Amino acid sequence: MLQIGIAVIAGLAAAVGDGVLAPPVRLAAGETWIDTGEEIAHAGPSFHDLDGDGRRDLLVGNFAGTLAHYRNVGTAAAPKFEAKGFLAAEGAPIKIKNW
Amino acid sequence: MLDLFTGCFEGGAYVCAGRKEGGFLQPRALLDRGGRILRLGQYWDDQKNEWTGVADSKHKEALGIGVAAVDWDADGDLDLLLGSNEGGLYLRKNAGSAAQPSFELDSAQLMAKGAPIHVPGGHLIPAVADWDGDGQFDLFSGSGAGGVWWWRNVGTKGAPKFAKERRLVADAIQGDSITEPKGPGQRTQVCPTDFDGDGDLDLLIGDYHSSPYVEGKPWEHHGYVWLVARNPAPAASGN
Repeated sequence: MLQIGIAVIAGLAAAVGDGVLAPPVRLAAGETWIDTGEEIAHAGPSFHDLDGDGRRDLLVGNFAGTLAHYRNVGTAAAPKFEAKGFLAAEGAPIKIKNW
Repeated sequence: MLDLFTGCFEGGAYVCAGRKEGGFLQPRALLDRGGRILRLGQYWDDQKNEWTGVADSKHKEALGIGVAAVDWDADGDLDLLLGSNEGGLYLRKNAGSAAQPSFELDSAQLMAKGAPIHVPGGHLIPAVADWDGDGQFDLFSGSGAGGVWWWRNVGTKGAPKFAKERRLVADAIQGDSITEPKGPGQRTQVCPTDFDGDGDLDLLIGDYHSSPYVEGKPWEHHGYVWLVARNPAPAASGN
């Protein structure tokens, strides 16, 4: 159930219409599927540059109330992810009380 | 600075505020202007160990589970969209300022083309982004049944108004494998974002797959993340 909102709304410069949506592709970190199963699933993704390197990183919320952090070690145009554990704040993992 | 907003199954709304020096603060519950934890109509009461109704709420049936922040009325501060486990969407306006938020005491149910916004199977977790590039934010959600829904904003800046929902991604595939699925499962959560940096918005989708619940047997869960790319560049060909 954990989901991250985007605090700043960025519009696009040009009208793009609906376009074509490609079939879904499951994302992995290295050779391992990104999977919140051990945290009772309910994956909630969000995509932001967390380390200021110009590449956006992936955060994935889960039912246990933590945020899995995947650093983008690819490029801005072709992201690739490396698992970095759970996102921490003020020296401790973030954990939202989730029932 | 980036702040992280989240809902949860207990019913409250939380924020991890971004820090000037980088990183985030620990989560804190968002409060309304009366000092109460910001919720829809229900929450899990830890003291009583039961679901409890929020006093005075007009939406007692609604358990808020998802949050998105957007400047709904273009007054320079962030308002909150609250999605419910039952499938509805609600607005909690910020009557304060960006520096000193002051959220109203109750929520307003949001409509699209004259009917309350609702997703099949419940589990509305909202997202906002400008999908059609017209300068107005649109609404998105996954659902209990899976898939992704989009509501086009046909209003004006400061006075959003929404068209009937349109499906962008199909519901979960019935009988799909939970370990090698062909597509997103149920209870989807969507993040519209330009994943591949090509100037249009793609969709990141989180999901839920599980084995049937059988008492006394292991209950297997998976929650994958999927990319639905919009107008992807043709794959490189050649040897």
